[in-house]
Amino acid sequence: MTNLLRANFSRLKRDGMFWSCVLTVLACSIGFMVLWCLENAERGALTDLDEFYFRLSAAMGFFYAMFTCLFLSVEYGEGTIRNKLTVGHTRREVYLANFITVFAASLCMAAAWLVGGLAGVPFLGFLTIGPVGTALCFVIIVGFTAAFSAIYTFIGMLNDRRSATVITVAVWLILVLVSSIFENTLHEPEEITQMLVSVDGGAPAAVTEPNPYYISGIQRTIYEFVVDFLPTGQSSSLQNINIGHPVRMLLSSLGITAAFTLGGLRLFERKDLK
Amino acid sequence: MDYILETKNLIKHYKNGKALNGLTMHVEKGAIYGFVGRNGAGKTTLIRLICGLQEPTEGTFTLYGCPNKSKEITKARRRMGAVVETPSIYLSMTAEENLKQQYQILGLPSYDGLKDLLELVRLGNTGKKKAKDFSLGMRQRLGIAVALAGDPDFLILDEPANGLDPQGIVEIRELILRLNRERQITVLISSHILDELSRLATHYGFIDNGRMVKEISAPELEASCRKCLRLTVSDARPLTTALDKMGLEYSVRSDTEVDVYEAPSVTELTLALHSAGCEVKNIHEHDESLESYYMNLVGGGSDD
Repeated sequence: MTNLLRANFSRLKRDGMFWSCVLTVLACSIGFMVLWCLENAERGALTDLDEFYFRLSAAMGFFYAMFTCLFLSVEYGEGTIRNKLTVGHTRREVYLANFITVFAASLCMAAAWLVGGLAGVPFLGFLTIGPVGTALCFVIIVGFTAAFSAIYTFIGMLNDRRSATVITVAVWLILVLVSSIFENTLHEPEEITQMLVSVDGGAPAAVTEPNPYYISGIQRTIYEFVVDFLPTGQSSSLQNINIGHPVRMLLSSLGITAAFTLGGLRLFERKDLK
Repeated sequence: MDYILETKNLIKHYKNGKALNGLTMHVEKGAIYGFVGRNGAGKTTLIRLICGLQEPTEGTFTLYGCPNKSKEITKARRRMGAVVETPSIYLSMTAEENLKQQYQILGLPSYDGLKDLLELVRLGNTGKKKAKDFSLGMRQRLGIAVALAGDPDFLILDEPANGLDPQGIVEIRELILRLNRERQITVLISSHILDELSRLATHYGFIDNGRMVKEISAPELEASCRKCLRLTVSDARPLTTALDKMGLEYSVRSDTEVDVYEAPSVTELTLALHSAGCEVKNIHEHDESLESYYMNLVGGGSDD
Protein backbone atom coordinates (compact mmCIF):
# COMPACT_ATOMS: atom_id res chain seq x y z
CA MET A 1 0.00 0.00 0.00
CA THR A 2 2.99 2.31 0.52
CA ASN A 3 3.52 2.37 -3.24
CA LEU A 4 -0.09 3.33 -3.85
CA LEU A 5 0.09 6.08 -1.22
CA ARG A 6 3.30 7.43 -2.73
CA ALA A 7 1.66 7.48 -6.17
CA ASN A 8 -1.53 9.09 -4.81
CA PHE A 9 0.33 11.84 -2.95
CA SER A 10 2.50 12.48 -5.98
CA ARG A 11 -0.68 12.88 -8.01
CA LEU A 12 -2.20 15.09 -5.32
CA LYS A 13 0.79 17.44 -5.50
CA ARG A 14 0.14 17.96 -9.22
CA ASP A 15 -3.66 18.02 -8.91
CA GLY A 16 -5.11 21.37 -9.93
CA MET A 17 -8.46 20.63 -8.28
CA PHE A 18 -6.77 20.01 -4.93
CA TRP A 19 -4.84 23.27 -4.99
CA SER A 20 -7.93 25.14 -6.21
CA CYS A 21 -9.92 23.81 -3.24
CA VAL A 22 -7.14 24.66 -0.75
CA LEU A 23 -6.73 28.19 -2.14
CA THR A 24 -10.49 28.75 -2.29
CA VAL A 25 -10.85 27.70 1.35
CA LEU A 26 -7.92 29.93 2.33
CA ALA A 27 -9.35 32.90 0.40
CA CYS A 28 -12.84 32.37 1.87
CA SER A 29 -11.44 32.04 5.36
CA ILE A 30 -9.36 35.24 5.13
CA GLY A 31 -12.04 37.14 3.22
CA PHE A 32 -14.94 36.31 5.52
CA MET A 33 -12.87 36.88 8.67
CA VAL A 34 -11.80 40.36 7.54
CA LEU A 35 -15.35 41.15 6.40
CA TRP A 36 -16.89 40.07 9.72
CA CYS A 37 -14.29 41.98 11.70
CA LEU A 38 -14.77 45.18 9.66
CA GLU A 39 -18.57 44.93 9.83
CA ASN A 40 -18.60 44.42 13.58
CA ALA A 41 -15.95 47.09 14.16
CA GLU A 42 -18.18 49.55 12.31
CA ARG A 43 -21.06 48.69 14.65
CA GLY A 44 -18.70 48.79 17.61
CA ALA A 45 -19.60 45.18 18.37
CA LEU A 46 -16.19 43.52 18.15
CA THR A 47 -15.90 40.86 20.85
CA ASP A 48 -13.25 38.15 20.51
CA LEU A 49 -11.84 35.76 17.91
CA ASP A 50 -13.85 32.83 19.33
CA GLU A 51 -17.02 34.26 17.82
CA PHE A 52 -15.74 34.11 14.24
CA TYR A 53 -12.83 31.70 14.09
CA PHE A 54 -14.78 28.47 13.50
CA ARG A 55 -17.68 30.00 11.57
CA LEU A 56 -16.63 28.45 8.26
CA SER A 57 -16.75 24.92 9.71
CA ALA A 58 -20.27 24.25 8.42
CA ALA A 59 -19.10 24.82 4.83
CA MET A 60 -16.08 22.51 5.06
CA GLY A 61 -18.16 19.40 4.31
CA PHE A 62 -19.02 20.93 0.94
CA PHE A 63 -15.37 21.57 0.02
CA TYR A 64 -14.42 18.05 1.11
CA ALA A 65 -17.27 16.64 -1.00
CA MET A 66 -16.30 18.55 -4.13
CA PHE A 67 -12.66 17.56 -3.90
CA THR A 68 -13.24 13.91 -3.00
CA CYS A 69 -15.67 13.08 -5.75
CA LEU A 70 -13.63 14.88 -8.41
CA PHE A 71 -10.38 13.25 -7.26
CA LEU A 72 -11.86 9.76 -7.17
CA SER A 73 -13.94 10.10 -10.32
CA VAL A 74 -10.72 10.56 -12.34
CA GLU A 75 -9.72 7.02 -11.34
CA TYR A 76 -12.85 5.65 -12.97
CA GLY A 77 -13.28 8.24 -15.72
CA GLU A 78 -9.73 7.86 -17.04
CA GLY A 79 -9.58 4.17 -16.14
CA THR A 80 -6.41 4.50 -14.07
CA ILE A 81 -7.82 2.37 -11.23
CA ARG A 82 -7.24 -0.56 -13.62
CA ASN A 83 -3.50 0.14 -13.68
CA LYS A 84 -3.40 -0.49 -9.93
CA LEU A 85 -5.42 -3.71 -9.92
CA THR A 86 -3.90 -5.17 -13.07
CA VAL A 87 -0.41 -5.06 -11.59
CA GLY A 88 -1.51 -6.97 -8.51
CA HIS A 89 -2.58 -4.46 -5.85
CA THR A 90 -5.53 -5.77 -3.88
CA ARG A 91 -8.83 -3.93 -3.78
CA ARG A 92 -8.40 -3.43 -0.05
CA GLU A 93 -5.09 -1.62 -0.66
CA VAL A 94 -6.56 0.54 -3.42
CA TYR A 95 -9.58 1.53 -1.30
CA LEU A 96 -7.59 2.30 1.85
CA ALA A 97 -4.92 4.23 -0.05
CA ASN A 98 -7.62 6.38 -1.65
CA PHE A 99 -9.33 6.96 1.71
CA ILE A 100 -6.07 8.00 3.38
CA THR A 101 -5.23 10.34 0.49
CA VAL A 102 -8.67 11.93 0.56
CA PHE A 103 -8.48 12.33 4.35
CA ALA A 104 -5.02 13.92 4.16
CA ALA A 105 -6.16 16.29 1.40
CA SER A 106 -9.24 17.24 3.45
CA LEU A 107 -7.02 17.94 6.46
CA CYS A 108 -4.95 20.25 4.25
CA MET A 109 -8.15 22.13 3.41
CA ALA A 110 -9.04 22.29 7.10
CA ALA A 111 -5.55 23.65 7.81
CA ALA A 112 -6.03 26.30 5.11
CA TRP A 113 -9.31 27.30 6.78
CA LEU A 114 -7.71 27.57 10.23
CA VAL A 115 -4.65 29.43 8.96
CA GLY A 116 -6.88 31.82 7.02
CA GLY A 117 -8.88 32.48 10.18
CA LEU A 118 -5.77 33.96 11.79
CA ALA A 119 -6.47 37.05 9.68
CA GLY A 120 -8.79 38.00 12.55
CA VAL A 121 -5.95 38.11 15.11
CA PRO A 122 -4.92 41.74 14.37
CA PHE A 123 -8.54 42.81 15.03
CA LEU A 124 -9.52 40.50 17.90
CA GLY A 125 -6.40 38.97 19.39
CA PHE A 126 -6.03 35.23 19.95
CA LEU A 127 -8.68 32.68 20.94
CA THR A 128 -9.82 33.00 24.53
CA ILE A 129 -10.76 29.34 24.98
CA GLY A 130 -7.23 28.44 26.01
CA PRO A 131 -4.88 25.78 24.69
CA VAL A 132 -6.98 22.84 25.92
CA GLY A 133 -10.20 24.23 24.44
CA THR A 134 -8.42 25.03 21.16
CA ALA A 135 -6.85 21.58 21.00
CA LEU A 136 -10.26 20.01 21.64
CA CYS A 137 -11.77 21.99 18.78
CA PHE A 138 -8.93 20.88 16.50
CA VAL A 139 -9.40 17.22 17.47
CA ILE A 140 -13.12 17.49 16.72
CA ILE A 141 -12.26 19.00 13.32
CA VAL A 142 -9.96 16.04 12.61
CA GLY A 143 -12.77 13.71 13.73
CA PHE A 144 -15.51 15.10 11.51
CA THR A 145 -13.05 15.47 8.62
CA ALA A 146 -12.32 11.73 8.89
CA ALA A 147 -16.05 10.97 9.02
CA PHE A 148 -16.76 13.12 5.95
CA SER A 149 -13.82 11.51 4.11
CA ALA A 150 -15.06 8.01 4.92
CA ILE A 151 -18.60 8.80 3.70
CA TYR A 152 -17.42 10.50 0.52
CA THR A 153 -14.83 7.80 -0.24
CA PHE A 154 -17.58 5.20 0.17
CA ILE A 155 -19.72 6.99 -2.42
CA GLY A 156 -16.82 7.76 -4.78
CA MET A 157 -15.35 4.27 -4.76
CA LEU A 158 -18.64 2.42 -5.18
CA ASN A 159 -20.10 4.66 -7.83
CA ASP A 160 -18.20 4.65 -11.11
CA ARG A 161 -20.63 6.93 -12.90
CA ARG A 162 -20.33 10.67 -13.40
CA SER A 163 -23.34 11.09 -11.11
CA ALA A 164 -21.05 10.39 -8.12
CA THR A 165 -20.35 14.13 -7.80
CA VAL A 166 -24.06 14.96 -7.67
CA ILE A 167 -24.72 12.14 -5.19
CA THR A 168 -21.87 13.24 -2.90
CA VAL A 169 -23.02 16.87 -2.79
CA ALA A 170 -26.64 15.71 -2.35
CA VAL A 171 -25.59 13.55 0.62
CA TRP A 172 -23.85 16.55 2.19
CA LEU A 173 -26.98 18.68 1.68
CA ILE A 174 -29.22 16.01 3.22
CA LEU A 175 -26.90 15.72 6.23
CA VAL A 176 -26.91 19.52 6.62
CA LEU A 177 -30.70 19.56 6.41
CA VAL A 178 -31.16 16.76 8.94
CA SER A 179 -28.72 18.19 11.45
CA SER A 180 -30.15 21.72 11.12
CA ILE A 181 -33.70 20.44 11.73
CA PHE A 182 -32.56 18.71 14.92
CA GLU A 183 -30.40 21.65 15.96
CA ASN A 184 -33.18 24.21 15.42
CA THR A 185 -35.54 22.12 17.52
CA LEU A 186 -32.94 21.97 20.30
CA HIS A 187 -32.63 25.76 20.17
CA GLU A 188 -36.34 26.26 20.82
CA PRO A 189 -36.78 28.14 24.13
CA GLU A 190 -38.50 26.38 26.98
CA GLU A 191 -41.01 29.20 27.40
CA ILE A 192 -42.34 31.83 25.07
CA THR A 193 -43.64 35.26 25.96
CA GLN A 194 -46.65 36.60 24.15
CA MET A 195 -48.07 40.11 24.28
CA LEU A 196 -51.85 40.18 24.82
CA VAL A 197 -53.80 43.24 23.79
CA SER A 198 -57.34 43.45 25.15
CA VAL A 199 -60.12 44.62 22.84
CA ASP A 200 -61.47 47.12 25.41
CA GLY A 201 -58.40 49.31 25.03
CA GLY A 202 -56.55 48.19 28.14
CA ALA A 203 -52.73 48.13 28.39
CA PRO A 204 -50.99 45.19 26.62
CA ALA A 205 -49.92 42.44 28.99
CA ALA A 206 -46.97 40.03 28.62
CA VAL A 207 -47.91 36.40 29.16
CA THR A 208 -45.26 33.69 29.51
CA GLU A 209 -46.27 30.16 28.67
CA PRO A 210 -44.53 26.85 27.83
CA ASN A 211 -43.26 26.52 24.23
CA PRO A 212 -45.06 23.57 22.60
CA TYR A 213 -42.02 23.00 20.33
CA TYR A 214 -39.61 22.69 23.21
CA ILE A 215 -38.50 19.11 23.71
CA SER A 216 -37.25 17.58 26.92
CA GLY A 217 -36.42 14.23 28.50
CA ILE A 218 -35.47 11.28 26.35
CA GLN A 219 -36.51 13.08 23.17
CA ARG A 220 -34.05 15.91 23.89
CA THR A 221 -31.30 13.38 24.62
CA ILE A 222 -31.95 11.68 21.26
CA TYR A 223 -31.91 15.00 19.40
CA GLU A 224 -28.67 16.00 21.11
CA PHE A 225 -27.18 12.64 20.21
CA VAL A 226 -28.13 13.04 16.52
CA VAL A 227 -26.53 16.51 16.36
CA ASP A 228 -23.37 15.22 18.08
CA PHE A 229 -23.36 12.10 15.88
CA LEU A 230 -23.61 13.65 12.42
CA PRO A 231 -20.46 15.30 11.04
CA THR A 232 -22.61 18.19 9.78
CA GLY A 233 -24.06 18.55 13.30
CA GLN A 234 -20.59 18.60 14.79
CA SER A 235 -19.32 21.19 12.31
CA SER A 236 -22.40 23.30 12.97
CA SER A 237 -21.93 23.07 16.76
CA LEU A 238 -18.30 24.08 16.33
CA GLN A 239 -19.32 27.32 14.63
CA ASN A 240 -20.25 28.72 18.05
CA ILE A 241 -17.83 26.48 19.98
CA ASN A 242 -20.91 24.78 21.41
CA ILE A 243 -19.20 21.50 22.29
CA GLY A 244 -21.37 19.89 24.93
CA HIS A 245 -20.23 16.29 24.54
CA PRO A 246 -16.74 16.18 23.00
CA VAL A 247 -16.17 12.50 23.77
CA ARG A 248 -19.47 11.54 22.17
CA MET A 249 -18.59 13.63 19.12
CA LEU A 250 -15.20 11.96 18.74
CA LEU A 251 -16.58 8.47 19.25
CA SER A 252 -19.30 9.20 16.68
CA SER A 253 -16.73 10.33 14.14
CA LEU A 254 -14.68 7.24 14.85
CA GLY A 255 -17.76 5.02 14.51
CA ILE A 256 -18.86 6.61 11.22
CA THR A 257 -15.33 6.40 9.81
CA ALA A 258 -14.97 2.74 10.79
CA ALA A 259 -18.46 1.74 9.60
CA PHE A 260 -18.22 3.42 6.21
CA THR A 261 -14.65 2.26 5.60
CA LEU A 262 -15.33 -1.36 6.54
CA GLY A 263 -18.62 -1.39 4.63
CA GLY A 264 -16.98 0.28 1.63
CA LEU A 265 -14.12 -2.22 1.64
CA ARG A 266 -16.53 -5.13 1.72
CA LEU A 267 -18.67 -3.81 -1.12
CA PHE A 268 -15.69 -2.66 -3.20
CA GLU A 269 -14.16 -6.13 -3.02
CA ARG A 270 -17.29 -7.53 -4.68
CA LYS A 271 -17.78 -4.76 -7.21
CA ASP A 272 -17.48 -5.52 -10.91
CA LEU A 273 -15.16 -2.92 -12.38
CA LYS A 274 -14.99 -1.97 -16.04
CA MET B 1 3.16 -27.19 -23.29
CA ASP B 2 4.16 -24.07 -21.35
CA TYR B 3 1.09 -21.90 -20.95
CA ILE B 4 1.07 -18.36 -19.56
CA LEU B 5 -2.71 -18.34 -19.32
CA GLU B 6 -5.18 -21.20 -19.17
CA THR B 7 -8.89 -20.86 -18.54
CA LYS B 8 -11.26 -23.70 -17.72
CA ASN B 9 -15.01 -23.41 -18.23
CA LEU B 10 -15.13 -19.77 -17.24
CA ILE B 11 -18.63 -18.45 -16.71
CA LYS B 12 -19.55 -14.85 -16.01
CA HIS B 13 -23.12 -13.81 -15.34
CA TYR B 14 -24.33 -10.25 -15.47
CA LYS B 15 -27.83 -9.04 -14.63
CA ASN B 16 -28.71 -9.12 -18.32
CA GLY B 17 -27.33 -12.56 -19.08
CA LYS B 18 -24.20 -14.66 -19.53
CA ALA B 19 -21.18 -12.90 -20.97
CA LEU B 20 -18.97 -15.99 -20.74
CA ASN B 21 -20.44 -19.43 -21.07
CA GLY B 22 -17.82 -22.05 -20.21
CA LEU B 23 -14.83 -20.49 -21.94
CA THR B 24 -11.69 -22.61 -22.15
CA MET B 25 -8.53 -21.22 -23.71
CA HIS B 26 -4.74 -21.69 -23.72
CA VAL B 27 -2.18 -18.97 -24.33
CA GLU B 28 1.26 -20.40 -25.04
CA LYS B 29 4.40 -18.71 -23.81
CA GLY B 30 5.93 -16.50 -26.51
CA ALA B 31 2.76 -16.41 -28.61
CA ILE B 32 0.87 -13.50 -30.07
CA TYR B 33 -2.58 -14.82 -29.36
CA GLY B 34 -5.31 -13.27 -31.48
CA PHE B 35 -8.58 -13.36 -29.60
CA VAL B 36 -11.28 -13.05 -32.23
CA GLY B 37 -14.97 -12.51 -31.79
CA ARG B 38 -17.80 -10.20 -32.71
CA ASN B 39 -18.92 -7.34 -30.42
CA GLY B 40 -20.47 -8.75 -27.26
CA ALA B 41 -18.88 -12.18 -27.74
CA GLY B 42 -17.16 -11.94 -24.35
CA LYS B 43 -13.62 -10.82 -25.25
CA THR B 44 -13.46 -7.83 -22.90
CA THR B 45 -15.22 -9.74 -20.13
CA LEU B 46 -12.50 -12.40 -20.21
CA ILE B 47 -9.80 -9.71 -20.10
CA ARG B 48 -11.51 -8.05 -17.11
CA LEU B 49 -11.50 -11.38 -15.26
CA ILE B 50 -7.81 -12.00 -15.96
CA CYS B 51 -6.92 -8.47 -14.85
CA GLY B 52 -8.81 -8.87 -11.57
CA LEU B 53 -11.38 -6.21 -12.38
CA GLN B 54 -14.13 -8.79 -12.01
CA GLU B 55 -14.49 -12.26 -10.53
CA PRO B 56 -15.75 -15.25 -12.54
CA THR B 57 -19.16 -16.60 -11.55
CA GLU B 58 -17.88 -20.15 -12.14
CA GLY B 59 -14.81 -21.82 -13.58
CA THR B 60 -11.14 -21.11 -13.03
CA PHE B 61 -8.08 -19.76 -14.75
CA THR B 62 -4.38 -19.96 -14.09
CA LEU B 63 -1.86 -17.21 -14.75
CA TYR B 64 1.73 -18.50 -14.89
CA GLY B 65 0.30 -21.68 -13.37
CA CYS B 66 -1.16 -19.78 -10.42
CA PRO B 67 -4.91 -20.41 -9.85
CA ASN B 68 -7.16 -17.36 -9.75
CA LYS B 69 -8.51 -18.24 -6.29
CA SER B 70 -5.01 -18.37 -4.83
CA LYS B 71 -3.58 -15.41 -2.95
CA GLU B 72 -0.48 -15.68 -5.12
CA ILE B 73 -2.46 -14.45 -8.12
CA THR B 74 -1.63 -10.84 -7.16
CA LYS B 75 2.08 -11.69 -7.48
CA ALA B 76 1.45 -13.36 -10.84
CA ARG B 77 -0.34 -10.21 -12.01
CA ARG B 78 2.81 -8.18 -11.34
CA ARG B 79 4.32 -9.99 -14.33
CA MET B 80 1.63 -8.79 -16.71
CA GLY B 81 0.54 -5.50 -18.21
CA ALA B 82 -2.78 -4.66 -19.80
CA VAL B 83 -4.63 -2.05 -21.78
CA VAL B 84 -8.32 -2.78 -21.21
CA GLU B 85 -10.71 -1.05 -23.63
CA THR B 86 -9.34 2.52 -23.50
CA PRO B 87 -5.79 3.48 -22.48
CA SER B 88 -5.68 4.03 -18.70
CA ILE B 89 -3.81 7.31 -18.46
CA TYR B 90 -4.15 10.57 -16.54
CA LEU B 91 -5.16 13.08 -19.20
CA SER B 92 -3.94 16.05 -17.17
CA MET B 93 -0.41 14.64 -17.02
CA THR B 94 2.40 14.43 -19.58
CA ALA B 95 3.59 11.10 -20.94
CA GLU B 96 6.57 11.16 -18.56
CA GLU B 97 4.39 11.99 -15.53
CA ASN B 98 2.03 9.16 -16.41
CA LEU B 99 4.92 6.72 -16.51
CA LYS B 100 6.32 8.06 -13.22
CA GLN B 101 2.90 7.43 -11.64
CA GLN B 102 2.97 3.84 -12.82
CA TYR B 103 6.56 3.39 -11.63
CA GLN B 104 5.43 4.56 -8.19
CA ILE B 105 2.40 2.26 -8.22
CA LEU B 106 4.75 -0.61 -9.00
CA GLY B 107 7.17 0.53 -6.30
CA LEU B 108 10.12 0.68 -8.68
CA PRO B 109 13.14 2.14 -6.89
CA SER B 110 14.11 4.58 -9.67
CA TYR B 111 12.93 6.01 -12.94
CA ASP B 112 15.66 4.17 -14.87
CA GLY B 113 14.43 2.97 -18.21
CA LEU B 114 11.60 5.51 -18.32
CA LYS B 115 13.13 7.45 -21.23
CA ASP B 116 13.83 4.21 -23.11
CA LEU B 117 10.24 3.16 -22.65
CA LEU B 118 9.02 6.47 -24.05
CA GLU B 119 11.39 6.06 -26.99
CA LEU B 120 10.15 2.50 -27.52
CA VAL B 121 6.60 3.75 -28.00
CA ARG B 122 7.87 6.78 -29.94
CA LEU B 123 6.71 9.34 -27.40
CA GLY B 124 10.17 10.50 -26.40
CA ASN B 125 9.71 13.96 -27.86
CA THR B 126 6.30 14.87 -26.39
CA GLY B 127 7.86 17.05 -23.68
CA LYS B 128 5.32 18.97 -21.60
CA LYS B 129 2.36 18.13 -23.83
CA LYS B 130 -0.49 16.78 -21.71
CA ALA B 131 -2.05 13.44 -22.61
CA LYS B 132 -5.39 15.17 -23.22
CA ASP B 133 -3.76 16.88 -26.24
CA PHE B 134 -2.44 13.58 -27.66
CA SER B 135 -3.92 11.92 -30.71
CA LEU B 136 -5.75 8.63 -30.19
CA GLY B 137 -2.73 6.69 -31.48
CA MET B 138 -0.39 8.50 -29.08
CA ARG B 139 -2.73 7.76 -26.17
CA GLN B 140 -2.86 4.13 -27.20
CA ARG B 141 0.93 3.96 -27.30
CA LEU B 142 1.18 5.71 -23.94
CA GLY B 143 -1.31 3.18 -22.55
CA ILE B 144 0.95 0.40 -23.82
CA ALA B 145 4.00 2.12 -22.29
CA VAL B 146 2.19 2.28 -18.92
CA ALA B 147 1.38 -1.42 -19.27
CA LEU B 148 5.06 -2.11 -20.03
CA ALA B 149 6.35 -0.13 -17.04
CA GLY B 150 6.80 -3.16 -14.83
CA ASP B 151 8.75 -4.98 -17.55
CA PRO B 152 6.02 -7.64 -17.91
CA ASP B 153 6.37 -10.80 -19.90
CA PHE B 154 2.68 -11.02 -20.68
CA LEU B 155 0.82 -8.14 -22.32
CA ILE B 156 -2.94 -7.99 -22.79
CA LEU B 157 -4.28 -5.56 -25.36
CA ASP B 158 -8.01 -5.11 -25.79
CA GLU B 159 -8.85 -3.84 -29.27
CA PRO B 160 -5.60 -1.87 -29.63
CA ALA B 161 -6.40 -0.73 -33.16
CA ASN B 162 -9.85 0.64 -32.34
CA GLY B 163 -10.37 4.14 -33.68
CA LEU B 164 -6.84 4.45 -35.06
CA ASP B 165 -6.00 5.81 -38.49
CA PRO B 166 -4.06 3.53 -40.90
CA GLN B 167 -0.70 4.95 -39.79
CA GLY B 168 -1.62 4.47 -36.14
CA ILE B 169 -2.59 0.85 -36.84
CA VAL B 170 0.76 0.19 -38.55
CA GLU B 171 2.65 1.79 -35.62
CA ILE B 172 0.83 -0.33 -33.05
CA ARG B 173 1.39 -3.47 -35.13
CA GLU B 174 5.11 -2.79 -35.44
CA LEU B 175 5.35 -2.10 -31.72
CA ILE B 176 3.63 -5.36 -30.82
CA LEU B 177 5.85 -7.33 -33.18
CA ARG B 178 8.97 -5.67 -31.76
CA LEU B 179 7.88 -6.41 -28.17
CA ASN B 180 7.25 -10.03 -29.04
CA ARG B 181 10.45 -10.56 -31.01
CA GLU B 182 12.92 -8.41 -29.10
CA ARG B 183 11.61 -8.77 -25.55
CA GLN B 184 9.94 -12.18 -25.87
CA ILE B 185 6.71 -10.75 -24.47
CA THR B 186 3.68 -13.00 -24.84
CA VAL B 187 0.79 -10.93 -26.18
CA LEU B 188 -2.96 -11.53 -26.00
CA ILE B 189 -4.77 -9.24 -28.43
CA SER B 190 -8.51 -9.09 -28.69
CA SER B 191 -9.76 -7.72 -31.96
CA HIS B 192 -12.39 -7.93 -34.59
CA ILE B 193 -10.18 -6.36 -37.26
CA LEU B 194 -9.24 -9.71 -38.72
CA ASP B 195 -7.01 -8.49 -41.53
CA GLU B 196 -4.86 -6.63 -39.00
CA LEU B 197 -4.77 -9.59 -36.65
CA SER B 198 -3.69 -11.95 -39.43
CA ARG B 199 -0.47 -9.91 -39.84
CA LEU B 200 0.46 -10.42 -36.20
CA ALA B 201 -0.96 -13.48 -34.55
CA THR B 202 0.88 -16.75 -34.09
CA HIS B 203 -2.18 -18.35 -32.50
CA TYR B 204 -5.89 -17.69 -32.71
CA GLY B 205 -8.83 -18.23 -30.42
CA PHE B 206 -12.28 -17.76 -31.92
CA ILE B 207 -14.97 -16.91 -29.40
CA ASP B 208 -18.70 -16.69 -29.93
CA ASN B 209 -21.49 -16.23 -27.41
CA GLY B 210 -19.05 -16.59 -24.53
CA ARG B 211 -17.64 -19.92 -25.74
CA MET B 212 -14.38 -20.82 -27.41
CA VAL B 213 -15.33 -22.11 -30.83
CA LYS B 214 -11.81 -23.01 -31.96
CA GLU B 215 -8.18 -22.52 -30.98
CA ILE B 216 -5.73 -22.85 -33.81
CA SER B 217 -2.11 -21.94 -34.55
CA ALA B 218 -1.27 -19.61 -37.42
CA PRO B 219 0.39 -22.39 -39.54
CA GLU B 220 -2.66 -24.61 -39.02
CA LEU B 221 -4.92 -21.76 -39.98
CA GLU B 222 -2.79 -20.99 -43.02
CA ALA B 223 -3.07 -24.60 -44.11
CA SER B 224 -6.84 -24.44 -43.70
CA CYS B 225 -7.02 -21.20 -45.60
CA ARG B 226 -4.60 -22.19 -48.40
CA LYS B 227 -5.79 -21.60 -51.97
CA CYS B 228 -6.71 -24.96 -53.51
CA LEU B 229 -8.93 -26.80 -55.91
CA ARG B 230 -11.56 -28.76 -54.00
CA LEU B 231 -12.78 -31.88 -55.79
CA THR B 232 -15.82 -33.87 -54.77
CA VAL B 233 -15.73 -37.35 -56.28
CA SER B 234 -17.56 -40.66 -55.86
CA ASP B 235 -14.43 -42.27 -54.35
CA ALA B 236 -11.28 -40.47 -53.19
CA ARG B 237 -8.92 -43.47 -53.64
CA PRO B 238 -8.62 -43.42 -57.48
CA LEU B 239 -8.22 -39.64 -57.26
CA THR B 240 -5.28 -39.83 -54.81
CA THR B 241 -3.65 -42.50 -57.03
CA ALA B 242 -3.96 -40.20 -60.04
CA LEU B 243 -2.65 -37.20 -58.05
CA ASP B 244 0.32 -39.22 -56.82
CA LYS B 245 1.14 -40.19 -60.42
CA MET B 246 0.93 -36.51 -61.43
CA GLY B 247 3.14 -35.54 -58.45
CA LEU B 248 0.69 -32.96 -57.03
CA GLU B 249 0.35 -31.89 -53.38
CA TYR B 250 -3.06 -32.61 -51.91
CA SER B 251 -4.92 -33.34 -48.68
CA VAL B 252 -7.82 -35.73 -48.20
CA ARG B 253 -10.75 -34.12 -46.43
CA SER B 254 -13.11 -37.11 -46.53
CA ASP B 255 -13.81 -40.30 -48.52
CA THR B 256 -15.22 -38.17 -51.30
CA GLU B 257 -13.44 -34.82 -50.96
CA VAL B 258 -9.83 -33.86 -51.74
CA ASP B 259 -8.04 -30.47 -51.79
CA VAL B 260 -5.37 -30.12 -54.49
CA TYR B 261 -2.86 -27.34 -53.78
CA GLU B 262 -1.24 -27.02 -57.19
CA ALA B 263 -3.01 -26.26 -60.43
CA PRO B 264 -3.52 -29.60 -62.20
CA SER B 265 -4.52 -30.15 -65.79
CA VAL B 266 -8.24 -30.65 -65.22
CA THR B 267 -8.69 -32.48 -68.54
CA GLU B 268 -5.86 -34.90 -67.78
CA LEU B 269 -7.18 -35.49 -64.27
CA THR B 270 -10.81 -36.09 -65.28
CA LEU B 271 -9.75 -38.47 -68.06
CA ALA B 272 -7.60 -40.43 -65.59
CA LEU B 273 -10.51 -40.59 -63.15
CA HIS B 274 -12.98 -41.58 -65.87
CA SER B 275 -10.76 -44.53 -66.85
CA ALA B 276 -10.57 -45.52 -63.14
CA GLY B 277 -14.36 -45.50 -62.92
CA CYS B 278 -14.48 -42.53 -60.59
CA GLU B 279 -17.16 -39.89 -61.09
CA VAL B 280 -16.24 -36.21 -60.61
CA LYS B 281 -19.22 -34.57 -58.93
CA ASN B 282 -17.90 -31.09 -58.28
CA ILE B 283 -14.75 -28.99 -58.74
CA HIS B 284 -14.37 -25.51 -57.31
CA GLU B 285 -11.58 -23.16 -56.34
CA HIS B 286 -11.31 -22.77 -52.60
CA ASP B 287 -9.61 -19.61 -51.26
CA GLU B 288 -10.39 -18.92 -47.62
CA SER B 289 -9.22 -15.79 -45.81
CA LEU B 290 -9.17 -15.45 -42.02
CA GLU B 291 -12.39 -13.54 -42.38
CA SER B 292 -14.21 -16.26 -44.28
CA TYR B 293 -12.69 -18.89 -42.00
CA TYR B 294 -14.13 -17.02 -39.03
CA MET B 295 -17.49 -16.56 -40.71
CA ASN B 296 -17.65 -20.27 -41.53
CA LEU B 297 -16.75 -21.07 -37.96
CA VAL B 298 -19.25 -18.87 -36.12
CA GLY B 299 -21.84 -18.32 -38.81
CA GLY B 300 -22.90 -14.95 -40.16
CA GLY B 301 -25.65 -14.11 -37.68
CA SER B 302 -26.28 -10.69 -36.24
CA ASP B 303 -24.48 -9.22 -33.26
CA ASP B 304 -27.53 -9.54 -31.06
